[in-house]
Amino acid sequence: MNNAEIWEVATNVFRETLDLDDLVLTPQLTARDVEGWDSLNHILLVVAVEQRFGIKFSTGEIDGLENVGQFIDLIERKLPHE
Amino acid sequence: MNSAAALGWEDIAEGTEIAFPICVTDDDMQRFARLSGDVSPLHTDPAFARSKGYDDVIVYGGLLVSYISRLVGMHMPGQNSVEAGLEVKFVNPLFVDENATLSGVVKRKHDSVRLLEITFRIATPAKTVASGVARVLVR
Repeated sequence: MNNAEIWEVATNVFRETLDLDDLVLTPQLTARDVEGWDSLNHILLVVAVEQRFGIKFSTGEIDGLENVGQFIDLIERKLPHE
Repeated sequence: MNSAAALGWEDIAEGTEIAFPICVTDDDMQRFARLSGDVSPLHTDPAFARSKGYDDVIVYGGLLVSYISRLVGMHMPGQNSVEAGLEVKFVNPLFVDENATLSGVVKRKHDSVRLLEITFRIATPAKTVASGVARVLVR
């Protein structure tokens, strides 16, 4: 899966989880910028991403994220390289 | 008295199962009607229920969900848990005084956020009554 595909899949996961059909992900986007992206939805987002991409995160990896760009980078590092 | 289990994150393994019997009585139905304010005749009037094609009044779905609360809060994982979400399908009606079993399985552990996905099923020997998944934070 290339970078563009990861962004596309992640966008769908965020839209479904946060119930925001028009949400556009950008690298600098944070939870503070998105209505409804609260602490519970953040947990559900992490779980949904793990399931959709078939990967697992550690607590430290999640706690260190500062924005969507870093989240996407983490997903990319976790995915098996072809 | 607090008799809730107190499992910690490390005590819980994927695949762990829990089950207990349930049987809703007429008294349970009356108390739930008062609690919820739902006195729909489908749950209170046998003649009405039969007119809709059921053998008798059917147990409230909300009352069945209360047993999921018991599953999570008392058994798996018990007092260290907070329910984060619930998906449930009501597949077949359950009738008053009908014996059923609620069974749950820890389907997934998400270590990163300490969230469990517990799939559950309420069933009699003859039918599935309800099934779904509870998402539970362990604190």
